[in-house]
Amino acid sequence: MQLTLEQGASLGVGDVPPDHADGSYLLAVAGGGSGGSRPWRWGTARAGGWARILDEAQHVPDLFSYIQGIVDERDQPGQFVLAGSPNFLIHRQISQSLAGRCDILHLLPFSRAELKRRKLHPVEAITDRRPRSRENGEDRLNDVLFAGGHPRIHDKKLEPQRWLANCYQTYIERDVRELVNVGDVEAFGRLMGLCAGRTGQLLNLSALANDCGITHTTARRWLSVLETSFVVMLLRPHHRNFNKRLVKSPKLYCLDTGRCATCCASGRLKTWTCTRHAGRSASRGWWPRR
Amino acid sequence: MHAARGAICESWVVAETVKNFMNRGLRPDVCFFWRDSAGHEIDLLIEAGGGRLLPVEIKSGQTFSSDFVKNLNWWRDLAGPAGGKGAVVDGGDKSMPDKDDRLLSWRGWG
Repeated sequence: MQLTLEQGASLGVGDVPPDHADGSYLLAVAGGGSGGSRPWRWGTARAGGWARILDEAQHVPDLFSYIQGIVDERDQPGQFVLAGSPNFLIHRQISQSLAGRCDILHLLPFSRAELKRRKLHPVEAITDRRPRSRENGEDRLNDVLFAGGHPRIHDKKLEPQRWLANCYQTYIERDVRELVNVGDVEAFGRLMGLCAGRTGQLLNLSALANDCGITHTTARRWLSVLETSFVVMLLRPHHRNFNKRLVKSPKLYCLDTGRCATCCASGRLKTWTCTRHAGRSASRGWWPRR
Repeated sequence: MHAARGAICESWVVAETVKNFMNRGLRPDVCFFWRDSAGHEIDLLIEAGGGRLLPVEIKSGQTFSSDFVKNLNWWRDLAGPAGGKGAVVDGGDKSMPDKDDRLLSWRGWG
């Protein structure tokens, strides 16, 4: 039995890869702190019939044991498609009933290829030596960087910087509050800002903790929250040393360039949570728009 | 140009790589960087099948310079048989005729 989501109307991805064909349900996790704002363009999910689609399922953890019951009773793949935030995976009650019964598809903010409805495989992009088809698009790199990949910005043609400031505010207030002590929410926002300013640099946890005014342990814990939500990622150093001494720390990357640009442009990295209005100055442009 | 533009460009290329892997249902844990204590660096190193390592150099500038491939060649000499042909991804609008490495515009990567 195979779960197929109709082309183009799918998880914003184009298709469900074959690896995801045999879970009892497919869990689609929207990352990058996009909150509930991703416009789900679900098509007809077919699983030898139809699937039930539940969005924002993480808000009803009790639901999962019911679903587990249904799934265990009728062992048929693709009965449910559950969508929601990555907190899914942190929540113990949820992850227990999910174990062994689901496939997980992480949805990051849009990639450019996805926006252009193209499929790209990074390895093929390097190894495929056939003459290239014309490279598509008239978009400009600076604009692409500024906009980032959040669906709503592209869907509704919103002004990226202002919207992003609100989006992350919501992310912090709604998704993070459950995981972090309420009193620390401001410091958490500060950490996000600091990460944006350090994108592409080697991770120095002590310096990051110092600048943020939190302990080393807290910084580590919060960073893992940011990583789970796909706000940042850590790129690891490769271990093959070829007789050289290698750097061992990972590199920190912010996954959405729109947010980096917002933070850097605001010039107020330390007060990320209060930069709602800073988006306006950013929108005037800090790179010459050609 | 803002000082952060280079870093943001680099983040974009890395993020697009990760997204493209994930959107194909693949885990992005084949992506690495490589840096020795003397500061030699490969921005992005992708583990392909058969233990091959494909190096990617990321440049935010728009004008291709042959210096870009020098770094990749240096690393390939070091890596020996493990080092595959890689790519330079730059901020220009058009890709260049390939040398040993692919010379790609950002449009060809994301």
